[in-house]
Amino acid sequence: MAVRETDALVIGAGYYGCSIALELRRLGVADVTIAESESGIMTRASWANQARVHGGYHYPRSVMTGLSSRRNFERFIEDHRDAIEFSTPSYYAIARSSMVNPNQFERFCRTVGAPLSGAPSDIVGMFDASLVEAVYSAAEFCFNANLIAERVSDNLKRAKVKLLFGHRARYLESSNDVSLLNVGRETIKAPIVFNCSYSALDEAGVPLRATLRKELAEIALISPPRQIESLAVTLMDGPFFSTIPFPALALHSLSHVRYTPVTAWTDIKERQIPMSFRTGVGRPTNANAMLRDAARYLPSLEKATVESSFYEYKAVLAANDHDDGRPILFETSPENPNFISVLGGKIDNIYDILESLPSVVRDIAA
Amino acid sequence: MLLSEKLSVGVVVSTDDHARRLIELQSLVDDLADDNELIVVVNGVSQDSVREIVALANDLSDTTVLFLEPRVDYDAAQLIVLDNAIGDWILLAELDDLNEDNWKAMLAAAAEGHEMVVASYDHAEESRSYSLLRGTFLRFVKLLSGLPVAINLSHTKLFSRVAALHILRRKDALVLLRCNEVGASFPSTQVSFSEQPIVVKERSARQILANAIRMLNVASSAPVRGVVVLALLGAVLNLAYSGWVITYYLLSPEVAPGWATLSLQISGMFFLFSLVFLLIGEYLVSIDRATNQRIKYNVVREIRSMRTRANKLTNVIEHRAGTFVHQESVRTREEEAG
Repeated sequence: MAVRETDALVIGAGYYGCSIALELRRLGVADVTIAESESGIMTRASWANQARVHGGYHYPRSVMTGLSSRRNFERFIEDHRDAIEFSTPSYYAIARSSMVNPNQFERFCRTVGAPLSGAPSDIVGMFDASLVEAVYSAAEFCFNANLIAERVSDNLKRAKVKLLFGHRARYLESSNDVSLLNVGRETIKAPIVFNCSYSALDEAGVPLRATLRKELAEIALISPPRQIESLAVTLMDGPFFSTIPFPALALHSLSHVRYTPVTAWTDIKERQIPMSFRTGVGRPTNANAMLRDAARYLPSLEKATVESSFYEYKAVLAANDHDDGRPILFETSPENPNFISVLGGKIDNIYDILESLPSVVRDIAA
Repeated sequence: MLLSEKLSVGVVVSTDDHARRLIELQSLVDDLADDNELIVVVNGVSQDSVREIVALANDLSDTTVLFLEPRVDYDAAQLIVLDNAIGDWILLAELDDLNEDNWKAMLAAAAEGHEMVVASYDHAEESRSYSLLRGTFLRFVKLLSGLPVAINLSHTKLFSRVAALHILRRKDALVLLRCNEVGASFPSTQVSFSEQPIVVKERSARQILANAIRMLNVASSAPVRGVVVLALLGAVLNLAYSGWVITYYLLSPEVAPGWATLSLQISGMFFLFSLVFLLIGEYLVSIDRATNQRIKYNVVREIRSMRTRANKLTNVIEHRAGTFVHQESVRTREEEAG
């Protein structure tokens, strides 16, 4: 089989994979190839999420994650201004049984520099005061994933990044720190490999030191009632749900801490995906349960209608499963230090990884 | 031992020599957890100490200093630490007893699955009369509240976030801080440090009395219930007296003119008063039950240290020397160099 050579191979054409590929081109890496198992870029987890540009509010028990989000927030907005929905006000409500009380949430926001103020009384009045302790106005927005994908696609074309769709990359071996991978019918040789395959990170043929906790997640798509159709609402932090506009489909997405995970596993042998999910026939949904529980806190949600749901695999580091830390994993393979696995769960935090790339490219070139 | 989760360490500065121990505290805390924060509650110290602490705050990392006015009791100041801590674990430490080995022992106990770890000592350095008074009072609070109040507990305590929030949500939080457990849902344990005597913070009689009244007020609604019982007793006694007056009037051959009328008027009036007190008392008990918010205290000033370790690091972790560590921020390094 002929072996194709490339200067850098990126596995996965999600937002992280595409951004890393573009940054490698910007740093002067001449030939960059992306191998993607789907038929287009940003079709999986980069699209199937709540499309939130994180302003740092979401993980109030991790100052590191909050600071990182805050740092990257302005930059992401600048880079994708045309794809951001600025007109939707965002509100964060603190449940009475939350893992942070209002005083701690305010202190956290002051610490990370996230603007926060008390919500207007008409918004506060929408919540059940016996279950919700405080409601705040936050500076946070949502993005249109389709528009971002279009822009990224244009940038990839301009940067002449090669794209191989419909092929899953699989690591074969290394020689002198140069990796050999099987991509469909081709064998590719690359001195630098970035594995950005998110929930399939540990399925590329290179074992990981980090343990991943994966889950099959359901995010419901709803037509919201008139009172909240122009709002983004997040309830924290213990009881948790979030309903925010999903601009790509002109609906609202709804996720819920208890009902969004369909099943979860840390070892691939434990994975039990119901047959109905594989075939799509009679696929069970928790969307109505999400709505009913959320409506306890925000009664107007009783008038919302479930339109459909999308399902996607999510991955977090098992060590951070029960806390608010969401660090980005940057793991070099013990077999080959130039094979680097990257796992990031928040699209807007990409810049933390891009910051470290110049030194990686320099080290490898040396 | 290094804690992998975020640790908040809180101390109360209540004497003028506490301020200079803060730097030593920070270096000890860095040995306990990579990701940590300090919360310093300044509670009634001299202006010179305040100036010293404000200057020190910029030498410390990830530190929040909260100034209270007026001065509150030590337990109340510790509640303010819990209220402001955002760590996964909160260690209430004492500046008079910076003992890293003891803290590590408590963290080890927490690693076994306990959500609350308290420390006790075999003996305390205090006068006999104060010891007797303190012990008697705490036993009375235990009887009144029904909570497991412990007599010889140190102020050094370790809570998980959920246990700390549970305490904060309770009106009797001040009493819970004196207990060696806070409920079956939060496994707790007690460690014994017998090598060093606990130094009891003796206070003036006025402070002791104020604190005692505050603690009794939150411990139980029994005093108000007592008023209700007295009112009920009064109403019953007045009814009984009225019955006796009527019986005597009907059966006795010699009754002074107007005596029965006057007696019934007076007993009837006091019966009505008793009913009014009974009703008011019941309303007070209901209000007391409904008002489940604990007492708030006045933080008049907050200073946050300019230094934060998080700024030198990115949110990217890599594997180094057998563990995962955060990468250093190239951007921050370049900004500091340039």
